[in-house]
Amino acid sequence: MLSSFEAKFYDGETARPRQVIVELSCACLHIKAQDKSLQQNWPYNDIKILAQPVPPLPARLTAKGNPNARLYIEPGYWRQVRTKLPKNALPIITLSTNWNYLIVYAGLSVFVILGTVFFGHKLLDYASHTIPQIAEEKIGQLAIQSLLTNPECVEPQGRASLEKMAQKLQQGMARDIDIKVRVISDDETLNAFATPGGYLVIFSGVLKKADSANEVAGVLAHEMAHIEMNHPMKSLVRNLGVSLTLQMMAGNRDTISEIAKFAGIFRQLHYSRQDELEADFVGQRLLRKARIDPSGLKLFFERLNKADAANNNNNDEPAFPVILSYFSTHPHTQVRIDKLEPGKTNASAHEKALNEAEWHALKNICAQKADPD
Amino acid sequence: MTEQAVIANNESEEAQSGIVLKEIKQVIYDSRTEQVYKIWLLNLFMNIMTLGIYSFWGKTRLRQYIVGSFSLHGDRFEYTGTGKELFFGFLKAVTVLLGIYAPFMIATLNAPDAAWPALFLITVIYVIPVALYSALRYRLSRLDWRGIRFRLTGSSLNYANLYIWRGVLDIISLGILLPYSDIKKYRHKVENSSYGDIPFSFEGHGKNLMNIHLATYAIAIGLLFMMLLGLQLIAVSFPYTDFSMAPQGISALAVQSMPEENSLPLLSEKSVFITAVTFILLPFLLFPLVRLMYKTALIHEMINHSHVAGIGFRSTVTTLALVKLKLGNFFIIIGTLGIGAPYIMQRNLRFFANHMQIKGDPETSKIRQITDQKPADAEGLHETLNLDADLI
Repeated sequence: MLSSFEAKFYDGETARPRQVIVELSCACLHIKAQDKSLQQNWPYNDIKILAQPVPPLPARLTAKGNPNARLYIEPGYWRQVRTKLPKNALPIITLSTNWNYLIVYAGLSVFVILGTVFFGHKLLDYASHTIPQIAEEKIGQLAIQSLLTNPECVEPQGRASLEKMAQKLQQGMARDIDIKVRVISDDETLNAFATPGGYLVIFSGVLKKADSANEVAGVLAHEMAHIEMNHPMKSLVRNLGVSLTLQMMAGNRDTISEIAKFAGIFRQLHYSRQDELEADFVGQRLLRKARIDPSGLKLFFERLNKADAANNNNNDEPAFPVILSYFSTHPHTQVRIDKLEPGKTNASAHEKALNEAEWHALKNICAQKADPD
Repeated sequence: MTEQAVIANNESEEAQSGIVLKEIKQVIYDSRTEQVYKIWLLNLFMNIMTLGIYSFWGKTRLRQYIVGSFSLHGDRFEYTGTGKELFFGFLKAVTVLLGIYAPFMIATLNAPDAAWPALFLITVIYVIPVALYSALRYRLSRLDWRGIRFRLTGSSLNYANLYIWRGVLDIISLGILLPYSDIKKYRHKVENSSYGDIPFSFEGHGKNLMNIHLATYAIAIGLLFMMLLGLQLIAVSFPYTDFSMAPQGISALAVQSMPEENSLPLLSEKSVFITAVTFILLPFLLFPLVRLMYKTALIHEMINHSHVAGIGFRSTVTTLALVKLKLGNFFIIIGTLGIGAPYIMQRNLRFFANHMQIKGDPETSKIRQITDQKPADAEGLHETLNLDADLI
């Protein structure tokens, strides 16, 4: 039986629209204008479906011989045409927008997001190891240059003490990397940090606050442990990787990426806390290998804690409840003190990190300063 | 101006010019919001699963649906672009951008403190206008009506030169010459466009917009003074409040001159404060609304003076309608935290269609398909820079 219906036809050569009659024969689609000014046969095998109908939009067909020509078929007639056309008339993949499918896609995306959040960091950590040393070195230089505005402390004897301490600790490191330690003049900052490329910075506040060379050695060992474990590069790659992945997933849809960023920050904080605890642990190992009393870091933290408590109305409690530490980049000092091994008092097994004269020189390292380059 | 007034005005213009066009047709946009949401959701989920690679195909699908929903004289428009084109266009643009940034980055690494590496970035000012123009070229070349495609010719570099030069003039003239810039940039685009082998023409002129521009410009200056007055009012009435931004010397003087006891009744103090805050905040609301008056005039000048193949265009946009649209969009965005984005897109597209009329039906048998190659460059630069501008 021959079925026929009306459709719209454009020849692709002129802008003249035509109302045509389409007849479905056994081998081809027969197109003819009512005034007989047009007659074309489109073999089913030559027809390409440009779009299936999405009411009220019609189906759009073209033919291989004349890719500019168009036949628009209203949704109501589509079914009978579709059954005649070969499977390869459709584009290779057409994703359905049925609600049922959309629900499945939604479930799968939640799965992908969870997978990325929980396992993505492993991939990124792996990626951080593949970065060549020379690139890491450059990144470190840039980081140091952009972070440091205060002058560096360069009193020669103090520098010698610092180098000696760093060399002792480096003996225990498995990673082959040149460690470059600097003291930066800033008595108010009780901090130290490590960057990619083996750069290590201690602020003079640490030297001022510390009571012995062993405490400074503890801080130094902790930062060197970060370098040993490649933490600076890992955290850089993680931060970049996480934000990049989420932006890609969001495909520039701003709200979604904002929400995603928020979720990402929580994960990042968690990694950093893990890294800190790991660095405490590895730092102690470095101290033991250098035959330095590993309780230095613990003593230094206890001093920090006491200073906190003193600021907080002379209360013996730490300044912040422990629970808050879950929302901060650094674990709470009390948590870290508890995790650090108790100081071994077997003095014969350990040497002092520096002798009295060297320690005095280190404390005085800021007697001579150099402007940042 | 109300819509009727606009139509009456346009009709009197036609009567004067002696051209009476036979029929006026409305542009039809008949998409279904549910379908738009379905495509939007599909794209969202697929982007997550493919780390965004699907977005080129997703964007194409959405465009196909939206463009196909527009029709004129009973014939639908068609978008013939493909995801593959967008994908490769993106890759190409990333390469181009890397080529532009690489010398800058290498120079910065070698001389981190020096300023001269920034010289390498001069080429960057060309990137945006070139991206805008080539994106428009791509989109027009993938737009068909009655089986005939549109086209944009002309070099993107010429457009970029015009764009940068007008930008410089706008800055030097403190924005006074803005209408001329707006019209010149638009003219460049329209006069390089064609439908099939028939070019578009444009008779608009920047000077037609100067009155409304200068009026809104004057209002803007008034609003600025209003804001300064508000700030002054706060500074004088509440000198003892610690404004961290106030220079120390001034606030110290003000404190000295403060009466020993606060003799102002509480109510008056409150009302002064409310007046001052209103003076400061109101301009932020009023300025965009006032500028929409200019925007309306600009749309009329651009649309009403463009022609192609015996077709004239007419915009029935009014300032009030634009205000309603923009305010509505603003509240929907805030209220739905982004989930309303497809709905806003629908509102904008319907607004465009509802305020666009076509005069005359082209003699279609004379319009022929252009036979040259479609431009291969997709809108990669536009995509990479995340420019979200009205292209036409």
